[in-house]
Amino acid sequence: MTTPTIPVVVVAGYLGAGKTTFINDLLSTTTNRIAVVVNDFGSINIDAALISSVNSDTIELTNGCVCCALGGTLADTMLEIADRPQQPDMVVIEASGVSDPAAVSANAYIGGFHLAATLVLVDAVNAQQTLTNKLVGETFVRQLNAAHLLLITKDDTATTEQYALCIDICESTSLPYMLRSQFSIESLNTDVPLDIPVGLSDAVGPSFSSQLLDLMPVTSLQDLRREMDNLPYSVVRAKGIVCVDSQNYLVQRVGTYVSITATLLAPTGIVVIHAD
Amino acid sequence: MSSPLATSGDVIYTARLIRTANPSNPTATAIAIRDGRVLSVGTLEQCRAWGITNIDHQFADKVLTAGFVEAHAHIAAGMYADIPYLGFFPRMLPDGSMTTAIKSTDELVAYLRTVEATLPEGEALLAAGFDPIYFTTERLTCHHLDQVSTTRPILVLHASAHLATVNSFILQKYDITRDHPAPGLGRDDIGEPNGELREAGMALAKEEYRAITSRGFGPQSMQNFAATMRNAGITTSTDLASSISITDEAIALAAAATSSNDFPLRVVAATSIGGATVGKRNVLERVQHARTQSNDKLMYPIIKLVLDGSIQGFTATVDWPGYITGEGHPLFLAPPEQVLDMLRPFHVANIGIHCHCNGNIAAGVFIDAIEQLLIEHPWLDHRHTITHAQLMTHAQMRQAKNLGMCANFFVNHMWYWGDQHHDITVGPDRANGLNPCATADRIGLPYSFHSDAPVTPPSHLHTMWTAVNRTAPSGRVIGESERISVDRAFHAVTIDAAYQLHLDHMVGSLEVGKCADITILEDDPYTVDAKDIRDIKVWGTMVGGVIHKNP
Repeated sequence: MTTPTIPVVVVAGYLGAGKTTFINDLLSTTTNRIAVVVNDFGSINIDAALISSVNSDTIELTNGCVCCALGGTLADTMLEIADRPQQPDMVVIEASGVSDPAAVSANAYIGGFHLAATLVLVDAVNAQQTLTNKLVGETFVRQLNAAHLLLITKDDTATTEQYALCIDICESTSLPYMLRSQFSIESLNTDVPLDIPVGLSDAVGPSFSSQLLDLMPVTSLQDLRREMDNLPYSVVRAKGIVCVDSQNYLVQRVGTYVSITATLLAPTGIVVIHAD
Repeated sequence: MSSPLATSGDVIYTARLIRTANPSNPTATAIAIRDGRVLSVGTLEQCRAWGITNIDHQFADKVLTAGFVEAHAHIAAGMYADIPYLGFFPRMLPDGSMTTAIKSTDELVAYLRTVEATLPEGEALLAAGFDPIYFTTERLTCHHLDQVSTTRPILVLHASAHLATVNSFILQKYDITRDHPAPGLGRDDIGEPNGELREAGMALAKEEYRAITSRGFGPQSMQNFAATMRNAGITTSTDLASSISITDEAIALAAAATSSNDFPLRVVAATSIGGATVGKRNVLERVQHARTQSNDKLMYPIIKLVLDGSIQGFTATVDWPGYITGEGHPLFLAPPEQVLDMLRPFHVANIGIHCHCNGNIAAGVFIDAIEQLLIEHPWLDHRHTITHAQLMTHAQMRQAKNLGMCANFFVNHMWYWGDQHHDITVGPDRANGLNPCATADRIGLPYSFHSDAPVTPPSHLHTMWTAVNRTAPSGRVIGESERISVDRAFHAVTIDAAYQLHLDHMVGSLEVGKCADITILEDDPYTVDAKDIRDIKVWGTMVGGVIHKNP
């Protein structure tokens, strides 16, 4: 029996894209035990009532979450999380505003973890301006292209023109995208059942439809991976548990990225979400 | 007959020659020292005017100079005291011995075998300093390291610290097979892991990675650092991106180590801001607290910010037309839009800022931020310093000069990577203009030199030699028109380095009242053949009048 590993979600995006808001929302509403890795604690806004203890590099919350600031390298922090007596359900890494998300995601392959997704937030108000900035335009494009799924933020405050330019930028990457408000990061937790429908809310924005995947019985992990990799581009999300060779696997696809990890949960079939 | 003012500790040293780095009194043959300070420097007769009878002739055949000041090095400069060094160029260890230069993978295997033979059974063999940029035709793989041992873990950390090569024992230990999904895994032509672990991939070798990267800060690292610098004749050195101010324990440990008379170095600890080393702590508060625990051999006058990557790593922010092979990956380590806000509290608190800018885009961002800070808050004597400053444009140098800034050039690059910069990084035009010392003199921009040790071996005789000759290993001269005189180079590594650390009132030249910090050389850099400056032997140093002889 293969041991289940902990999913790691990388939340990236250029300066001001809404990463910290995303993390703050997650920490204050989650019912999971999430370990969040942040660059510094300065911007993290945790209700004092939620804090159970503070050490030099970690803040533990009463809801079981823990907030870790980078002490050395990100790899060092991941190894420390792996050594914690209480293992989290999920690790969320907040990438710095200028980092390459692909380099950050590489830390999710360290023993005990697996990568669940690299999400890159795109600020609808400033996307066009950042793209054309001569200092950081190149960094911005590199970040977008490292995403498995683009999540648009600040769509509620963007002008119609800004929003349209942002959609153009997302389209130009050929990567799947949706509104941040339509996506639930917690659906990536291994144990969240499928009846929380794959993490899509029905907020206003691009529309989606879901269906149960009609999957032929697969006899090897390679076949399963090939099936999942070959799902059409319009699939923004898929999740389910299938049995291969008497071992159960959790299958997740976020945007273009497929992860297949061992699980102790029972098979469910695979739900896929299409952009309409 | 001694003067009533003379004390029993007063001493006069005579020398073949003393170079003071004080232009109003550049040379001398005797120096009088009282309470660790320069009492008089000139002729023996002049020194005797203070009534001193204790005259010491032990340096009568030596050349004494103002103590060398290293404005960009790291405490890890002493790391090779306890980790086998695999560099292409040899370097001196704290005990004074020289390492074996590793010029081929065969030599690497042979050397590691000798180390391996000394280790207890089962103990990991960890080594560092290997630089693949010098090995263009062969690649270090697990197969080489398997020739050293197949029964114990072996990890070789490359000089960049971005890459490691491990043996098959480690691959098996962590179940790293061809099916492993990690992107940082090097593979051979048929997809099998070849032992290379890149970036975060290094942490796949969990225990060995931790053992080599988190050796921590302790009394021994302070001693190894100080001994390494002393061997090079350096009497004051920065620890740039220092962890010392971060915890009370480290501050106390460093204060205790430096308080000893035997400790041969003044340490300038510069905390990194915006980096990953400080967790939730407020860096400004930490630096201000550390300053209350400083002593005359442990000071905190400056902080550091890293803005971009390295030229040889192709991550320096180089503007148009970029890297000559077209393979650049320019990397900002701090968001350019945030630099102003990050620096403001330190500028306002009158703390000097040394900003790592290898590329000219980063340099431009930093200089513009300083211009804005000076408009907001006029600190007229800030001396903020562009460190590395390798690819600064002349326009940027003029702007920096007008703003009262300094440059700290990484001149050792002309030797260690000069050929690579010419051929495979920025190309001939920019290679020839690298670290433009002569232009800085024409413009009037104050500058220093650094080794960035352990990145290159610490030696100011070497940085002087490089700035004067600008010769690469192939024999090619890297920008003949940017060569400078020995006199300019000497000032760059003494008083001008002290200036950019805000310590020129205290060290950097031998003048009445300043610290008796002296580099003791076997020959005179001004009169030996310019090609031989780097080969001058360092006898030892004096720090605050205390003699420290090299092993």
